[in-house]
Amino acid sequence: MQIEINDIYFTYNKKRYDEFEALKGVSLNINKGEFVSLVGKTGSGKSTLIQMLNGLLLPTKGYVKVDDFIITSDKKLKKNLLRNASKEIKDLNKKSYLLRKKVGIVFQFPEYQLFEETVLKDVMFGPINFKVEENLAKEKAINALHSVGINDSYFARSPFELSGGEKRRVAIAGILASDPEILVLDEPTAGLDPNGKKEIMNLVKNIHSQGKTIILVTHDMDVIMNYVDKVFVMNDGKLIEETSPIDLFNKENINMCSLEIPTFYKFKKILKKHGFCKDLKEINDFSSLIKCISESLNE
Amino acid sequence: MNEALRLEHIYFGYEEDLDTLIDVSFSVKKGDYVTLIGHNGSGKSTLAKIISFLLNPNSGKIFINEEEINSNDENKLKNIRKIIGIVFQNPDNQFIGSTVEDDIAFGLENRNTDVKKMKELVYEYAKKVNMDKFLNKEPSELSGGQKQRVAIAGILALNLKIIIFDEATSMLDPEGVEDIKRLIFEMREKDPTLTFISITHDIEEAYLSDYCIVLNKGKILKEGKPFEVFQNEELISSTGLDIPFVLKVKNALKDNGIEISENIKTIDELGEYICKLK
Amino acid sequence: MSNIFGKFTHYNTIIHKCDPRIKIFGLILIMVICFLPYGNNYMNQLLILAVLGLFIFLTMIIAKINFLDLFKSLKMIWFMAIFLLIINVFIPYGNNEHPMIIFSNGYTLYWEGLLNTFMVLFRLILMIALTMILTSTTSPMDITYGFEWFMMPLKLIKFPTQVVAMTMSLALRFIPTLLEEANRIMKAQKSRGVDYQHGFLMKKLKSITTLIIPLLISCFSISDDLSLAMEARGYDPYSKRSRYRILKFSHYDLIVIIVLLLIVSFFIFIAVISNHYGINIIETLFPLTKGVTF
Repeated sequence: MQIEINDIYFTYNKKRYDEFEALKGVSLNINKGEFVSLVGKTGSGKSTLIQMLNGLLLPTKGYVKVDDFIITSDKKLKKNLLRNASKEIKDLNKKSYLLRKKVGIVFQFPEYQLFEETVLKDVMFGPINFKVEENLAKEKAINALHSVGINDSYFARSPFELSGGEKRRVAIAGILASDPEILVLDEPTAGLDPNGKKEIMNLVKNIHSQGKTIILVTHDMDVIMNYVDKVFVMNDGKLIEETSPIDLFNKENINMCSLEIPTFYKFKKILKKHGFCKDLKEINDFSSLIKCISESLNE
Repeated sequence: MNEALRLEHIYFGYEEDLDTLIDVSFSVKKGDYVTLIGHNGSGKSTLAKIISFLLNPNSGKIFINEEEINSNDENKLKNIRKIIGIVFQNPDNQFIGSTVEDDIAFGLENRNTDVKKMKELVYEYAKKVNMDKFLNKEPSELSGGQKQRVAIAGILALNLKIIIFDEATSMLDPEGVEDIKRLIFEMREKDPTLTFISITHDIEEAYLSDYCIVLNKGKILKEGKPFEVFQNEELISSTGLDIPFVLKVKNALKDNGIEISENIKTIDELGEYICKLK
Repeated sequence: MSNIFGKFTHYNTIIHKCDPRIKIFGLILIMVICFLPYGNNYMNQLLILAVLGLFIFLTMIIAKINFLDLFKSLKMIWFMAIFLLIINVFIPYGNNEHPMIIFSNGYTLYWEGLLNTFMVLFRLILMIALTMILTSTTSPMDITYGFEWFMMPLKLIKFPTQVVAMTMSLALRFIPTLLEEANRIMKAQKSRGVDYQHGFLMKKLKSITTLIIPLLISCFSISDDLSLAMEARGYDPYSKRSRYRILKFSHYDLIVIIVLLLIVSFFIFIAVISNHYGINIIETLFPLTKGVTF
């Protein structure tokens, strides 16, 4: 188990008039190399949850374990959990920057994090912060930029001159350059056109194929249908479902999580509602659906 | 007079050698729901700003209600603001007032509306968009969809005739998107003379509109009734756009020898139709 | 969502309901009172400031302001406190009578320096508390309208008060938005290994640029969007606009203003008698303390 989330709670603005409990006891596990997605409506706690993974927020109760890192605000609990650990692990837990290096988070609209004079410098910024030597950092940055499809002619340009989609790819390269083992993406396709979406998602798929764990937060169910292995559904600060995308969309009561199901599955449900003669349960792609409909009509 | 808007040979570039819009001409009928689609950077948003007189074209003419509008004429421009309104993409950046009621009132204040009348209008339109219980809320306490509804109320309260949506739902979650779609539907039911121009990525929305214009690299690639526009699958796909689901099913079934009537537009209708065919 | 200094709270206390113009007027009056000279006797000054402080803290309780917020905002002035202390203690001025430390070369540090520092800091805290009362009980819009009302005489010299008020209200409106934005950018940069808390001057400077530049850029994009949105809704700064909100005095306000004036005249009276006539209140009230020289 690479990521172990153990019954965590989190409250914003504790003991104030606008106190808000964002997480109410969430537990889940993610294995190394998985491609999972967190879904749920705005305010369901998914953004809060991902910020725990690299220690930007600490759970008020419970803990998160990422490999050997323990993330919690409960010092006693942390001490207890690390009691039998080796000295190396204890030392590791004192260096929070190593956790940030291990878990790379690409926030929504990451283009807003660019600040350097040139594209290359901006992408090098991460590795240098994580104490990578300058030459090596440069090499890593160049690799990352190539992997997101930004070629050498862009390197010396200012990141602010680029188009929206290019900016986003550079920002993602900025995270990739630090070589994280776990990549978390918050709505990476927001505001992009269908082509841009495909580009970004194929990029993510590529990164996944290199053996990295991917955690994706998204509203876009088409993305989930086409790329993700496992879905965690959150609602009102709790985890309510852990399932594969196909099972999720075939569910009868999916509306209760207020998710927008892909048109394909919507259509399947409509056919069923109007009493379509064949069982559509096993049909999960477009061409077999067409085949099924044509067969039934030609009979 | 049933033409709401006409553009003739519009050219525009942000920089001299850059052509954002090249010879764009089209007209919009009163009461229609028109969608403008195209990839990012196709010039859609620029066009929206030109239609709403926030940008001046380099050349070309714009007619509103069959009257040419010269953007140098201050008085006419003032009148235009009483006809055309626009809702932008980012819900936060167009929230001008510090609370919901202040924001809805902003346009009315600009028109020097009487205070008593203004209070009534603010309440009336807040109710229309279902925000009457949030009148004294600040933007930071609202969701994106709620903020967008407030922006729409602010536009509606001005009693406009043409409303432009510049990707107004692209930053919202599915719930927010549904909210806005429902709202548009209700508005059109109540006032059939309202003209909507929606700039969107949502291909399904475009398929359900009355008229569809596809923009590619600053030029109009195709325009017409949606089923005509999307008929040429290859052309549409080449611009990086998807094909609407209903059309995809229709075309696939056609290849298998099953014809489906042109009147069928939504997946509900299609599902029902297929089940009845048997 | 972070703790914003003096962020407007939606309670319904008397202070919240009070007219913003009165609150602004009261704020200015009481700030002046804080800095009135109350004679040369330190005990006397302390007593008067304590009474004033008590009154201000009472107002805070009525307005349901969290004292924790006040203490948090004090974090910002500790640097100033140290600076003041050094200046006041090491550069003695005025009449110093109570030596604290006498160095071998005859250079003397006085207790008065310490007391002076304390007094200045106490006044500063009172000022911060006062400002907090205003900002957390009055919505930004009301503050703006209040200020605009006070600027009315400037209209006579063709000063565009309307434009200034609009600018101010927009600035206030976007403070929370920008704070949220800053928060978001900081999180993104932290994920890239930026450490905003530790490090020395150069490193800190660098980490601050990682926040400032993106923030500036989003400021520009907000102002772009905003100006378009305002123009699209027919905003013309120089034409006549009506007002959605109209400020009206109520009888609450009458009570508040009477109380306010009573308090103000009381403190002015004390300032006058202790300064002009040299009457020492402590000695008058508590004859036992006669002869204490502080």
